[in-house]
Amino acid sequence: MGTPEGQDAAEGGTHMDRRGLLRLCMMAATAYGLGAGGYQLTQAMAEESASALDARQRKLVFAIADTILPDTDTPGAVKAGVPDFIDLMVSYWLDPAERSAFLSGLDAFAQDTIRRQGTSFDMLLPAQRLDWLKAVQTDAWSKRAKGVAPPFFLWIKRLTVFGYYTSETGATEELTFNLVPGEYQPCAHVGADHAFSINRSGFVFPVGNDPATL
Amino acid sequence: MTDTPLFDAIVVGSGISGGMAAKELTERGLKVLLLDRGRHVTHGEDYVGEDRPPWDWRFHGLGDRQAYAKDYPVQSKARAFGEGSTQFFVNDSEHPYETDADAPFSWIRGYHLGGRSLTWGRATFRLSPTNFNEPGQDGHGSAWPISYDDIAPWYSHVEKFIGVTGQRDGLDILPDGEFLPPMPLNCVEEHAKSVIEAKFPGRTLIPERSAVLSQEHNGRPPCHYCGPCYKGCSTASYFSSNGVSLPAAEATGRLTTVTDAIVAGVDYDPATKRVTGVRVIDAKTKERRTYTARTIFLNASTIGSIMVLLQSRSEAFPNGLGNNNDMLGRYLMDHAMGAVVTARMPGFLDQQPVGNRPVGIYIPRYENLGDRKNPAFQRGFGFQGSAWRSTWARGAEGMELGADLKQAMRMPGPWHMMLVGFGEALPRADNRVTLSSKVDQWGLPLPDIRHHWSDNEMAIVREAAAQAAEMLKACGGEIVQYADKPTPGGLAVHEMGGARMGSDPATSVTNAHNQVHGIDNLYVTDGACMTATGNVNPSLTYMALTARAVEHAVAQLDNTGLKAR
Repeated sequence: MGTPEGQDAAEGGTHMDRRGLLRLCMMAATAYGLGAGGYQLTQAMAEESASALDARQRKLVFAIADTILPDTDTPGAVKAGVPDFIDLMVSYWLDPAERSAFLSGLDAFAQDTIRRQGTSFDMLLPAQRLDWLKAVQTDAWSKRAKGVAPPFFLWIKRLTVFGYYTSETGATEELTFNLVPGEYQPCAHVGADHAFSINRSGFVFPVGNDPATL
Repeated sequence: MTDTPLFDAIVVGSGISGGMAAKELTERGLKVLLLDRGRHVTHGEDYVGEDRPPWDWRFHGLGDRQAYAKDYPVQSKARAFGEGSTQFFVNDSEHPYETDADAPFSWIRGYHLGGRSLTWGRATFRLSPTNFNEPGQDGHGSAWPISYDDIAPWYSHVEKFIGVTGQRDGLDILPDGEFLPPMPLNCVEEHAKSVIEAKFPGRTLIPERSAVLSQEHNGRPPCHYCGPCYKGCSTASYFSSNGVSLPAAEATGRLTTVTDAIVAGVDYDPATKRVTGVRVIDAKTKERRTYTARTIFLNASTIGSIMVLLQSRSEAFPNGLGNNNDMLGRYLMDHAMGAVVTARMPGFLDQQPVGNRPVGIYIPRYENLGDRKNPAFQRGFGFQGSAWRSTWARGAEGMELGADLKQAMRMPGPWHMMLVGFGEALPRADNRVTLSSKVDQWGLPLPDIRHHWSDNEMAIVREAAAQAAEMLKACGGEIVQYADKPTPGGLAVHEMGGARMGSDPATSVTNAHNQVHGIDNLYVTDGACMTATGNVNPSLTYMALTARAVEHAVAQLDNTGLKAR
């Protein structure tokens, strides 16, 4: 189990920082003589220093991810490097309209929290954060059912869940990792906690109001 | 004809049919040149996406969405496209084509050695006697010049070589082949099978037949059930040119492979009425050269082979080689896809599959057969599908948060079952490929691809979806996804036609042996030769027609004394 070091972890700068990930990809690309992906990586290197999130927004993303998937008997989203992954996705994967909706939603969430809870999200106790997120989620789900544009909360929950269960920590420590099973049993008995982290169909990240993959 | 040709045969294209042509021709003693327009791919070594976990990738496997939108807007619609397989698809910006804005044909391609044999879906079905007979009987389309009996031994020949997992089901509409043991249905699929077969007489649910090994075969190890076949398989446990047919061709010592060689045209000698060689442009240096041979096989993919013929213009054939009847490029078809229905299935929560089975289930065609007539459309459809337990991905959608969310995701979610219809498409003359006035970076004309669905395909997709929902509901399922409109042409990646086979040279391009009418040493044995689509996945038929045509070509060379050795 990885234990991040105090302040370092609070800045979201542990195992999975983007620079390190890119370096790893570059090394792999070189080792494999990767052709087609090379240009994307070069472009990625050029862009990597720019984040769409400022320090205050990063801190809030960090706290929300930590509440959605906290440390329990296994490491949670923060120790799995999810805040950096969310930063990367918001900064480069979302299109400009989605990015702007995410960032304004994040700011609106910050303001709502102060208005309704009397303090900023990161100042709340863990149990208060969870209760507040549950209320925000209920509101978000009802807006979504009415067909209103995908609320900020839907995005950050998707990004947190996807980032976590596709991270090394989430895929191997939290769930059962089975990259090369070597066997096929059509219907095996399900044990106590036996969800596999990867499967045949992979995962298509939903955009907009589409439901997530089943 | 004073110069001795360099090769006995040239094969243009190294995908699923070209690889088979190279293997069959070399094993029959011919000296063969295999050309591919793309780069070399070394089996195993170049499968850079294989066995890599999601966190190895920048976007955890989702790929660079902005880069895809810019450079892969068409290719990224393919099911096999992703962060670990981008290298097996063309960059759309570098390889443009023309199509209708309101009905865009989605041309999915891979320009590299092995072509789409690396990313194919591996479903391996025989066309049935019904599929071969109907076009000549019901007046929709043109008659096949061959029958099922003509191709049956070649299906067997190919199946024994490539290795096919399947079950002998004894169905007229889906003839049995040479099978390795089937990959079994899971418990929910077994449940669906028993319900569907009991409540819907005439329908059957069987394990999908697929070119993946369920046991060791010809020295290749069985599947290790990792799942994403399209990233490449270094154990060659599924059939690809790179892993199976090209190594067999190379083992003869008679194969020469040249990659980065774009064929600009086939040379025709009006005095002998034979083709003499191919003109090639080096993809990197743009240097031009000519290779000569006694016989030529076009296996450049359906649209690729059409383009080679259309570009081969001469005084004798001003509109393209073999096109003095205005048939070349017409009757482009793709299977009608778009019926996608998913249901949440109750029960079976104490069971889950272990291992990622690379095949699904199949429900063979049952409409418009025997006494069963559906007045809504001609011909029929089959379903591919599978049942699975939902993954952690559902965690983004539910009400759980915090420790509860983690705990809930430690268990697999409810079962789901999906059925995807593939319908037969009727040939239409206006669905065609022509040469655009625009050219690519090598100065070659772009393809102009026009393809519209007809009312029959619309009806097939609508009916397939409605019937899929009816079956899943009968099995106790609750419908959670329902789509009943055709997806853009090309997305089934089963494009066929354009140089269709037929007995009448006035209405077809190739004959019963896949020779271009009137040009005895020019064969087209990829999807371009298909007279009708049937409703099953076509790759096995391309390979069987190829092996059959090779026997004919070699016999012809022997008979005429043209063969050098």
